[in-house]
Amino acid sequence: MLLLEIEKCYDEFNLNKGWQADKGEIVALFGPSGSGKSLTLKAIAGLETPDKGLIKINSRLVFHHQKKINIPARDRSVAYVPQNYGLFPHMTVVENILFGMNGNSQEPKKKKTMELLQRVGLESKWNRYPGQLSGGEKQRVALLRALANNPKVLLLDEPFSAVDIPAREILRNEIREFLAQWRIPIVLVTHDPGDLNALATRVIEYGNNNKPGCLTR
Amino acid sequence: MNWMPVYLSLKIAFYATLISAIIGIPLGWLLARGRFIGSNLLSSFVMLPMVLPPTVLGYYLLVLIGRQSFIGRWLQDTLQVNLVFTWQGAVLAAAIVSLPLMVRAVQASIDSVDPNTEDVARTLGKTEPVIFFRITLPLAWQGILAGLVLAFARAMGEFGATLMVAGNIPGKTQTLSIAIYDAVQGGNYEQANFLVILISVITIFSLWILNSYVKINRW
Repeated sequence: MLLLEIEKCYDEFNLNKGWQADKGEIVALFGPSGSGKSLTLKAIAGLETPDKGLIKINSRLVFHHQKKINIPARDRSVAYVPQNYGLFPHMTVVENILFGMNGNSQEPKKKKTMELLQRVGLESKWNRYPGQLSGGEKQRVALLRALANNPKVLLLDEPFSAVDIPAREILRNEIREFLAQWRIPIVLVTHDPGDLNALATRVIEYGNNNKPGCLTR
Repeated sequence: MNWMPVYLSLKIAFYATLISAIIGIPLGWLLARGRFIGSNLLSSFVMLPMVLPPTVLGYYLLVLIGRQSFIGRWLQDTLQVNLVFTWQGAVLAAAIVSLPLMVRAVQASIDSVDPNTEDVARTLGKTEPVIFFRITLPLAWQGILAGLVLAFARAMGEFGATLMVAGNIPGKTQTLSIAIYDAVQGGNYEQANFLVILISVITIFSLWILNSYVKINRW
């Protein structure tokens, strides 16, 4: 379960949101750009610090303003897939996935990586660099990398923005089946209504009607 | 032919490049990635040696490490180190003059690394040093290498600041550029021609090596 209640002030806008997501849910944060959707993802991941509020993953507080709790991103067990997937361009597919995997001995990790690649039909491309993959293949590698350590939450920022429109439909179906295998809260940021119907189990609207509150700061 | 200035210049440029790398790589990273008050001021300060006349820079340095200043007295009395009119002084001058080139190159190449890759590495449980050495540095490496070559070339050619700080002592602080000036002043054109051609060849060769390396791009 993921629970948050956060506030962050900027000169031009302020973010003030609270919601929760349960296991197996795919929650879509939907709204125009600049409404704080990506910022919310980064706050959950621990890459941005909200000004006020709290973030709870399962029963663990990872951020609490008053209690001065702010667990760093590396200790949150939150998987994050940014807009352009953030694959490491200087590492092969296998190296990308291995990079984030816990554990010291290489052999079992390699074996697990190859199994994961097989599951998404990418085993023949294990030795390619990200620059040699198609958009959909990159996305699958990024997802495998993110999920390899069994995270507690999965965050996807505009998963199809880098893919052209005809390919999106196919990818949405692929990713839906893939995501259904993980029983964790999944949060998806999008401004494309097509993503909502195809993927989301619930929609949370982000708009410019954020509650005021930090203007008085 | 007198090879001593060549040897001295190579030695001084090597150490100067080393120093400007040790200072310049973290500084370039800080300027590219750090979010702190005064980063603009720091950036301007680092760029100063590029716009100040080398003689002015050399003069500042001479005053700073000379006996008149607190630092200079401390160096000499406590550490027994005298930098004025030594090759180590020339290293210091060359390092300061080449530092802006190093910092600029590092800053630009780290700026070009997608911050998303670093963010993803953070969520994958990596610490900042691991991210720097396994993600940022390898991705910025070509730009940093270019910075190293430029810094080395700048240090090789250093004249003004070196002359102020280290003087023109043959066999001790007389570097290539100073030896060329000295040879021309003394009418020794044979030596001047030799050194001029040599420094040109070294410079062209290192730029050529750099360019061919940059073209090899694995990914």
